[in-house]
Amino acid sequence: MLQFLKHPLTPADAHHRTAYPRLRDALLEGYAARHDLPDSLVAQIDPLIAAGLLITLQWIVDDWPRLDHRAWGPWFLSRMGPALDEAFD
Amino acid sequence: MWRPPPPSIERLLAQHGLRDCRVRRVANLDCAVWRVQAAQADMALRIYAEERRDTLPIDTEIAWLLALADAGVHVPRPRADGAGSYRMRWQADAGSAARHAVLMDWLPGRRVYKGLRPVHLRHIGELAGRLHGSARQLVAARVLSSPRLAHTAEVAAWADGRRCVPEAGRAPSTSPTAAGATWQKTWPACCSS
Repeated sequence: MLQFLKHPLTPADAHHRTAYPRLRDALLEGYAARHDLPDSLVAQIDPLIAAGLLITLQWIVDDWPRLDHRAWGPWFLSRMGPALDEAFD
Repeated sequence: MWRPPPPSIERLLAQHGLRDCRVRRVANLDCAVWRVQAAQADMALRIYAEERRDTLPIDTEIAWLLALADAGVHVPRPRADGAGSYRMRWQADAGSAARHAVLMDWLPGRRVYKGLRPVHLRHIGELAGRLHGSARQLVAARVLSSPRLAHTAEVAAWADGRRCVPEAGRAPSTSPTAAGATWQKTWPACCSS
């Protein structure tokens, strides 16, 4: 979920990215109310988002007949590099 | 738009003793999800993508959802057909590949889009915490047995060039029949090793 809030699949979802820090913090607060949330896990969010981006890319490459099989495919691919750079900054 | 179910779906619903239903497709991203309006209650029919052939993730999901529903967590409860099976076989027509399908309770709600607020994310976080707590208990009790992740990122393969995006125009024009197999052959030589 955090992957798609931070890196929306379409330009129309950009407002989620703007609100991402507040949305992420609320998600973590809710999780911690129900389950252990180690600090080490919080530190892994950005690498896990990068892994999520790769999993999405693998789904596209492995299962889609064409890059434009879904309308957001080309835009997602164009944003992949900057998103990975951001995850590891 | 609500409509009578197509014959292929009508047959699945009949396995559950459901007749005279109306259906409406509400999602078609990876899985197709049909909302089913029956006299008894609304239900959701999930038809898995053709490439989702491995039964273990689906059966694990069914077992997990049943346990969560029994624990009072707000999740769709899978419904067994008349023969006691949760996972059914569906074909759009005789010439199409068979796909897995599961009938579940429909959970009413509304789609939050531009109105997404931190309070919604907090509720989702609470749900995720309960899901993980349940999974931990079920694994300890050996109710869930799948030892592997449902999906993994092949980071090393992407990093060293064994995986890459097919060149534009070189992708096959037909649907892949097995995950990865068809596309791999069309990758540029620089990405093969």
